[in-house]
Amino acid sequence: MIGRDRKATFAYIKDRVWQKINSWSGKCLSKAGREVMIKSVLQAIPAYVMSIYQLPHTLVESIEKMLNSFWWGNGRTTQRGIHWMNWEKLSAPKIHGGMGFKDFSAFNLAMLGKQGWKFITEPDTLVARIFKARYFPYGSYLTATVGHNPSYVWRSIMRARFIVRGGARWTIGSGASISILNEPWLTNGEFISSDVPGALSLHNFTVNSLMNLYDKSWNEQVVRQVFSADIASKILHTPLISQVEDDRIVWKGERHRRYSVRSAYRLCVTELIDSSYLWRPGYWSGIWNLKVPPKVKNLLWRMCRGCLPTRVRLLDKGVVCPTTCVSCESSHEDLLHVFFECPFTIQVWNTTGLWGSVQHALTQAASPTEAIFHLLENLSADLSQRMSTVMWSIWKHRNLRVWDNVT
Amino acid sequence: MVIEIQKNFHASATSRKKVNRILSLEDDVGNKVTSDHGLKDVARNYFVNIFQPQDSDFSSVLDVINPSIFDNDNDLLTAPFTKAEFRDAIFSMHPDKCSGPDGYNPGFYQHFWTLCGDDIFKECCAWLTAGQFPPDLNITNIALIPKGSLQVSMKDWRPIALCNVLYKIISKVLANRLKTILSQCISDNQSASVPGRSILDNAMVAIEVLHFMKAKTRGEDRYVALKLDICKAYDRMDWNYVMTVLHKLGFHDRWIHWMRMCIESVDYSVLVNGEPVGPIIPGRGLRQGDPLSPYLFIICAEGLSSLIRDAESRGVLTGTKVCRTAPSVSHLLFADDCFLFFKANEAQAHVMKNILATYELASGQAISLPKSEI
Repeated sequence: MIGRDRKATFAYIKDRVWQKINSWSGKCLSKAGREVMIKSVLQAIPAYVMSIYQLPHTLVESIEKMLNSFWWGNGRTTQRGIHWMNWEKLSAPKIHGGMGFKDFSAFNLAMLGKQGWKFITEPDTLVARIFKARYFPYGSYLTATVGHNPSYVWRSIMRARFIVRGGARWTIGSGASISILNEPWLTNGEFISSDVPGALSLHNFTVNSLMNLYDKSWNEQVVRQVFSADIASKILHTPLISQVEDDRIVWKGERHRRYSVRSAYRLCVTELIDSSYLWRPGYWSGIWNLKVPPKVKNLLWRMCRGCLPTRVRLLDKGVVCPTTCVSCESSHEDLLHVFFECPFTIQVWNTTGLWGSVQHALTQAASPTEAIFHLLENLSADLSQRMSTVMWSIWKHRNLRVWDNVT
Repeated sequence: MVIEIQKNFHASATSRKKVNRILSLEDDVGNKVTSDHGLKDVARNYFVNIFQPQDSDFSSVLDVINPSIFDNDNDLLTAPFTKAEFRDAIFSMHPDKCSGPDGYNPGFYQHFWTLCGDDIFKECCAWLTAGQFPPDLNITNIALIPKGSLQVSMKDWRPIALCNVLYKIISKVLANRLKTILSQCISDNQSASVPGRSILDNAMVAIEVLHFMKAKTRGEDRYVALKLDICKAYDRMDWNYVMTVLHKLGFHDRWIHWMRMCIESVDYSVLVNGEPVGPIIPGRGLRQGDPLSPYLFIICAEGLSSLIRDAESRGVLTGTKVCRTAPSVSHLLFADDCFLFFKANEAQAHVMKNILATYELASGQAISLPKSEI
């Protein structure tokens, strides 16, 4: 039973996540191991609850924060460490420079949308019948209003309606079961909202009243009479296929035309809640498709997102430390220097036989990140693997020198 | 590094062993038994006791069950078997699942399917046509898995039946056929195991009904929600009851005979600390671990469903309606979890009590009152 205090009702989810993070398995994982742990264990904990309730915003936020500090923390003792990026940025898809973690509130909505979709496509189940009788006796899920004294489940499912509206489209058969207002039956799944002038009189009409029933075409005269010019032309451009007999709702995100949480999530983050401002350009798939240990890929990703704690970056973050390079002690230690300019590094590139291509890439690119993308794009698979592993070793060597004084 | 990992692995393996080991058990009268021999006796007696058939009377349950399986469904169920069905059955099992007493796991059959597929197929078909299994096919080990954090008596161990994989293949083939017609004979209130229904459906209905009950402020009538817990639901299922329900629902005699073969030819041995103790020859119970059991169980739970529906149609029991036009909901089932709704007055409570008593008597199930909630 969900009472007034939703935060308290769902607090146990947070506790479960916290427990999992603090178990021994969480503590001794590498960065790459933590990625798997977050994706397949921690993110899955609230899945059941999220499929029928919308989690409170504060809870979602604090879970995301917790996972973020687990991801960036050094793990061994406490969750301390610099959080180089927030969860929002990490949740961008991998090919757009994120880590592909879940944006919980979008995922939540996508899962709720599934319940709404089932009300439309499986109207004979017990749940669908009960909800229909209680909340939309004369309409459908897509035309319903929240109504009087709604339960929390219904309220949650209604909040996800914009996803179903955004991705669903009717294929018109007889048109008798689709009401004119608020149902996505125009091309591209557009719908006529009940705010357009004259909509009030259309409330109880279905699409078939705009059609010539004898040959299944639009009744142009009626359409032009009732609607304004732009809506009328949209209607007249909506195809009517005579072979389709029943009104059927289809999902545009998947090839099999049925709702899936995965495609709804994708739709939600790319179109409906546009989060593409979090994307970063780059040849990211080049990194993730490399056949090297995950820790190496992770290092490359951190380099390209500027999350690698070189001394210059540390100073930016307010850490008091010298900025000179640990090996040559003459120049500032930034990405370019550590990986491409330090005499020691050049020697390494020379020995591995890659210096020629690295030098070429550096002249082509404006920043070390671009140089890496350039190299990944142009080198053969074999050489890219060698290149990325060499970079990993350089960084490893640098760390050993800083922390353990190994030369 | 490697040594450290090995050490970790061994540590976790040993601790797992410790958890799974049965050190002491209380017998029926509460004495603590620790000796090896004593433990085995306690375990054996416990299961002999559970699987002892009790007298049952199911005539009143049968009266309210309506036939819902017809000739064309039966034709489907008893159609000749194909090799593809057997192949699907084998490959849908997880290769590393625990093997039965014969020691072959599903991986073995999957790997050597090209070699032994034909033989398995022929042999199984022969058994099914003859209506007789070889005697040792259906020997089953019962493994005990700890329930909760502290184990005192046998009740705190969850029995899991480990069948021979060969038997499981047959049972899976039958189960796959049964699955297809299930939605016809199982009422909407049951949401477990039926393809196309989801546990969330029931959860949503329950929440909606509870919301209605809580938000209801007008009118004289109040409603009760009762959550039941049926203890040892699978182990106590009465065989004759299962068969008669199947018969009443309209299943073909041949199919019923197959079901009888599958559940009545069982010999159990209990694994106490790795050693089999047995044989225990049961007189009732469905095995947890047999692919057929969940389906048979929900078919039997249909008995309870029918009783409640019958009472509702006679007007002595009132389900909740979330609004005037909504279908009335008097009970929700998820396998052995049961949620009942009725009007809060003495007469209806009596009716409900009678129904539960009738169902208990018929199916051998016992409702554990301490675990039930209002």
